Amino acid sequence: MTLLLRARRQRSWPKLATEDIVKRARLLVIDDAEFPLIKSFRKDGYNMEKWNDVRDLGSLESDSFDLILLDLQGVGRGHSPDQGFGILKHIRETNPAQIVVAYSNEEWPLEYQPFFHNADAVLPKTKTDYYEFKRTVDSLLAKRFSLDYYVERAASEMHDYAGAAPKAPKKIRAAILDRKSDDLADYLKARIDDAHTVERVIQVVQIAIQMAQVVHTWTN
Amino acid sequence: MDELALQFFPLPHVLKGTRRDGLAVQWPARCGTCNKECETSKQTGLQLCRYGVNYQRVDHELLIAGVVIRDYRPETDASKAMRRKAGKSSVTLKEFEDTTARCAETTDVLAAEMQQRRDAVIAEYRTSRQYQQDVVGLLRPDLERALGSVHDYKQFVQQILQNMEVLLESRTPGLPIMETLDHAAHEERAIYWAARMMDERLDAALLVLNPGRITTSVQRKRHRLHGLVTKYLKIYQRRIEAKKLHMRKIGESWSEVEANIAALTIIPHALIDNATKYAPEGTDIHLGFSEDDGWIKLRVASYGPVIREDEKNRIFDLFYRGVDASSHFDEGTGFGLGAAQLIAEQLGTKITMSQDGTVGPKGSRWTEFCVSFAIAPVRTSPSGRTTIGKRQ
Repeated sequence: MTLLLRARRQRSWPKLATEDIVKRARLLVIDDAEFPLIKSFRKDGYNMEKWNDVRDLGSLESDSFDLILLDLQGVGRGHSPDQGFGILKHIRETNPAQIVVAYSNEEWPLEYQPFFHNADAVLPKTKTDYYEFKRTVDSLLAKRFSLDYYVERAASEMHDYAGAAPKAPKKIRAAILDRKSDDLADYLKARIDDAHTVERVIQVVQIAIQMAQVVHTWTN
Repeated sequence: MDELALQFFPLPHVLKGTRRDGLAVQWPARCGTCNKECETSKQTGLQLCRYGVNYQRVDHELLIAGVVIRDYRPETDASKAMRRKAGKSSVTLKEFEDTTARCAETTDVLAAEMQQRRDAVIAEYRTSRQYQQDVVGLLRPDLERALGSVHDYKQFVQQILQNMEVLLESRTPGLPIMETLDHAAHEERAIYWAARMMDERLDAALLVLNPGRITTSVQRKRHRLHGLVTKYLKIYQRRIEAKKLHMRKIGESWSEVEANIAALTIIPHALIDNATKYAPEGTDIHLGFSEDDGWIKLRVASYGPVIREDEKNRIFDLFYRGVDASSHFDEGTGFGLGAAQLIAEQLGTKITMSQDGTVGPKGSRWTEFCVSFAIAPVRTSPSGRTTIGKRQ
């Protein structure tokens, strides 16, 4: 009976209250200027860290933060001539499940506009007040701790191959809940002739499995 | 003088440096070997050359010359000899004067026609998008120099706004920023709204420099126009209070627009800024909203400087200021309205201006600026029901 209960608990994705998410989530702001709103965020219980520049690229690649607020100008010069845009692109490539909010002024030339699509949200620096910021952060954090987010993210990594593997979303969900991705990998490999795409889908699923374990630890 | 019309001119003449015979009188043979005194002379009025031939300059292009006037006085030996040689080819002074007068008349008529045609071409060019692009192209180097530090300016504005927000939010937690401002000290409000005004100005300049960004989909959002306009009215509160102006909101609008909101808000701001800047003390400003046939019409009306007929199109030129405005008001650069019109055109609309002749204090005129925005199209809600951008 205990085993059955444990198995059922493991097959589900626990729901976290907003207060729990706020308390547990790790947020990072990368901005070369002062970020005064950090005071309000911390006062409201958010665990927010601030870097003046990209201090440790490795931790951006390894899912160390639940949400990154990235200034697009004046940071990351040492890593990319495109500054924040280069960092944003790098994060998207190496850590597809990472949530990034592009935080910038609006003086970017038009050719940079498509880069904004790499971000989960775009917040103009002078047009966003604390509550709008908070609403955006809360809504993205709620996604970050939800099963649907990972299923959607993993499925979106298939791009044009989605039609070739119609059962993939269902199998992604099952793989995350069962915490093993072998069956999913076999299914995808049999239908998608692109090892990189399969690898990225599995990468998102692995991140989701780790997240599921963390969330279970919090709720138990 | 029109070259074609001069083909029928009776007297010999020089047009744009080329000698041409008249229809009735040809150049005398002697003029073929002369020193061209008539062409180099700076004299005006009727003249006589050393060979006894008369000439008169009409304008910088046309010289009537090679004419022998038989009753021209004073006579010289050369003129007497030339008159004998010319015989029936000579003309009387009256005939000469009549002909030149008719020529001057025709020149005036043609010049007026030419000016009209030129004005029409300029007017057409002025209303074209190409004109706006050319003006921006010409101003670009200056604007770029002026905005070289725009990122720094934006950072300053951000620092001021966010520090103010932290200050206000910590004092009245949970209240929206706009409401916390109601509880703030006058000085705090002044700092906050001054920073907001600076931010608006920077945005306008940036969008003028990069008009393509106005229509980019990244910044495209739906929003209630009424809210967008009234949200930042407080920017102008200090000026409104100082000049004891009465801002009257007329009509209402609940519909949404869909556009680059940062760009769109610059339009009402420019109109309100203009009205508060030029309205004489103690007068009214009308801020009107109405909806009709898929459009939201915004109207900003107030007393303002006289705008002459020939200035009506030019007031939307970047950095142009009307004669009355520049002679009575030091404040203003003529940038705001120009930027607003440029943005409006990119958004597929146009600002119009009219003065109805109603005279206000200090000779001001009741001036109305209007602009219409398309109501956001119908969208489908997740439940499958369609909704239009209206509050029911």
